[in-house]
Amino acid sequence: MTAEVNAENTRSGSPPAAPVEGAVDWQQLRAIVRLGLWQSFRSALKPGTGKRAHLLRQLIISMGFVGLFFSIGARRCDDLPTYLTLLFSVAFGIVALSVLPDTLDGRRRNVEVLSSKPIASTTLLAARAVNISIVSALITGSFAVAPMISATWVFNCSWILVAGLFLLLNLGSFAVVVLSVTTFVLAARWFNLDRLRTFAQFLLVSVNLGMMGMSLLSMSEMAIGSESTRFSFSSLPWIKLLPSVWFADFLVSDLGARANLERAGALLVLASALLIAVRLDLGRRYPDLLDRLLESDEQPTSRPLAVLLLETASRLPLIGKWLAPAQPLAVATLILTLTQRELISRLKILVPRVILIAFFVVALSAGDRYFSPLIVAFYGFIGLLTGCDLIKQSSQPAASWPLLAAPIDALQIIRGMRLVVTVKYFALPAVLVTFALFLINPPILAGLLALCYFVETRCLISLLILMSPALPLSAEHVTTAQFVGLGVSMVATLVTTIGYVTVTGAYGLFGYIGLGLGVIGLVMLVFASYWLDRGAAARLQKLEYEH
Amino acid sequence: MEGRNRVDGEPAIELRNVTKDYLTTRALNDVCLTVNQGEIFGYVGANGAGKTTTIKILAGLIRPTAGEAFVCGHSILSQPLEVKARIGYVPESGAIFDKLSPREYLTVVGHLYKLAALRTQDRIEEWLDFFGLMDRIDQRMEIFSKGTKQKVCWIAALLHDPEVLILDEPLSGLDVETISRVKDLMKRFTAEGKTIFYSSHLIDVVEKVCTRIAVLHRGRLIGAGSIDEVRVLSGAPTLEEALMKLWQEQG
Repeated sequence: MTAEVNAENTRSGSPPAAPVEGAVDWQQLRAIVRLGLWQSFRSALKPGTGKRAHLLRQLIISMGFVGLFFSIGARRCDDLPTYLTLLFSVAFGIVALSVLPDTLDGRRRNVEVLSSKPIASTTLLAARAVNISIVSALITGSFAVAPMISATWVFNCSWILVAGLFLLLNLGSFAVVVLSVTTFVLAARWFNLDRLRTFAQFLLVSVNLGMMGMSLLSMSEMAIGSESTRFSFSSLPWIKLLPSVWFADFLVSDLGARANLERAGALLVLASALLIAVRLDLGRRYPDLLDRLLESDEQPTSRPLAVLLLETASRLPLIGKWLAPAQPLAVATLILTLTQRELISRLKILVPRVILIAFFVVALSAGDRYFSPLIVAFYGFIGLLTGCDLIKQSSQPAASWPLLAAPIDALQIIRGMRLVVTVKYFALPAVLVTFALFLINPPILAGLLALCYFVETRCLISLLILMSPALPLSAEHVTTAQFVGLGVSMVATLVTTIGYVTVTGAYGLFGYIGLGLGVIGLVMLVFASYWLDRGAAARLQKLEYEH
Repeated sequence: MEGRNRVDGEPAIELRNVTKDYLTTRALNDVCLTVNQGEIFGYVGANGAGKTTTIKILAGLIRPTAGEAFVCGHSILSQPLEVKARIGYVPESGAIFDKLSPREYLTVVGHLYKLAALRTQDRIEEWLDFFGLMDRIDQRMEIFSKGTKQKVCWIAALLHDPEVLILDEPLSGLDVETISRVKDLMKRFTAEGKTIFYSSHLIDVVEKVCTRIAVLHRGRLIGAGSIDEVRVLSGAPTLEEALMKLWQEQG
């Protein structure tokens, strides 16, 4: 209605009428929803290649795979209610941890763009509700496809039941997101919102990795034909207190009083979320909260530990300038300081590190001294790959111009990038691998193998830059497809395994003469590293400023 | 200029038939111009004329599709590091990694230009003092205003004592007092025989500070000379009117 009035006014030459408070302006609502979706999913240009990174497609595919992992792991569920409880709980957990309040920059941008416009709070709230429902449906929908299909096979669910469950899952996700986002924002009265975002993202990564671990375990059991341990929640009465169970049981439980109470609980959650979504204007009700949300986190600047370490290394007599020359050190300092202060980077490496140490301790305490170095090497390669992606991205890619304007050779930039990847993402696996190698091999052989591993890593970093060249901190989004990363890591591990077996075998057969084979391999790796470095530098040199 | 070779009389900047294409758009079309040592050269044009593209080519951020450019006699294509060591660049966007403090950011920039550590710190403090930012040296720049960030960009451009300053709308966001100080600084800079390539669409400032100008229109150079020459040629009383006339003649 308002839109029609505005259109009419525009035709007659008079200024458009201000929207009416309390009514939803559908034209404005459409515009705000479109703006929100563009901000979240608009394709971003990949640096170097100039190709578009389709964020929406990536979201759907990655959530689809997470759902697939869930389906494989969930074959351990003994009955349908247990399966659905797990599915609804995981889906709600993922969606609550994925849809978080905007970052500080996003919040400021929204205030700049929207607060200056004549938009009624009713319209803003409605637009927020529509946005949340679309985003939560995208995440939950992509995640739930595989588990729902799996439910029809494993538990013989009818397609009508599956459709009903799918709808419930989406409604529940919407409610969960509304409630969790509201809780997050209200919690900002006492906690820094960006720190809460970090914590939530850390939990999300843990959930995803946990599911991957479960499914890998299930797949290995399937491969060797062993019967997996099955479980059921039926013996845990407290589980019924979880709201996710109220939604999960909605269509499959009996018509008893307890089940109906659960149904009422689910409806109450949904109604509360709807009411909050369309009625609770936090900015108006808590004006001080809005100011707090727009404040910078004004902590005093402190230098990251890794920077201090590199600076100390650069001051070492004789080898300092070789270990960390001035220009690569400057590049490394820039990357390390910025990535430390940007939340995503920190959390992405934390979980793999924890898993790596846990695995290593468990493997060694279980008496395995042979596969540990290779498995740790594999995790090391995965960390390396993540590191190579993370150092290319920044929330302010346009500010990367000094790396092009300064008189710095591409080789020095690569050295700086490699310093960061080595110190920040590779130091832990390097130490663990070296420790394991020295534990199970004679010192001279272990030393040679460790050297080969380090040079191989050097080759891999250059190869990754060569394959996907981008200046440090020059892109807003860098995503190496998860499976490409996994593939590269597996190939690198395979090469490592072949080399490891060959050199240790030759040493076992021919003693010190057998070491010659290892030395030849090392020399070949050094040559490969040299040429890969030059190739990567040539590709970096061709890059242009794209902002 | 501390150990750098500069041949007197050699142009500070020279563009030879420079063309730049972005996919289907020709941003620069066969541009030729020469900037002498010790002058403030104004580069004017409407929005989208190709000023920033030229600046980015000179600063080494992008490469020309065709043609060649020289700074202090060095080719930007075959000797890019020689060129970059000699220029200081202030970008139009004022884009800066604002999660760093000025000290952190400028130290990194100093090291990228291979300045000695002690000298870098001295110069950072000297320039921060000049721009009145000493008391903010360790604050994160994300709380700085646009003008304050622009001052840090200026310092980053001056830190290594460049021979040529490439400025793209350098006064954007600066307050009146700082603008006045920057204008004095520019005069002192050229009095030492150094060169400034000054791109702006603020004609009144260009008229006051520049010795010669070049006028760009839709990627083509449509006039160049001293301010008076451009005015006389077009028969207009002010530079602004002269430029309007030139642009109108070009359609």
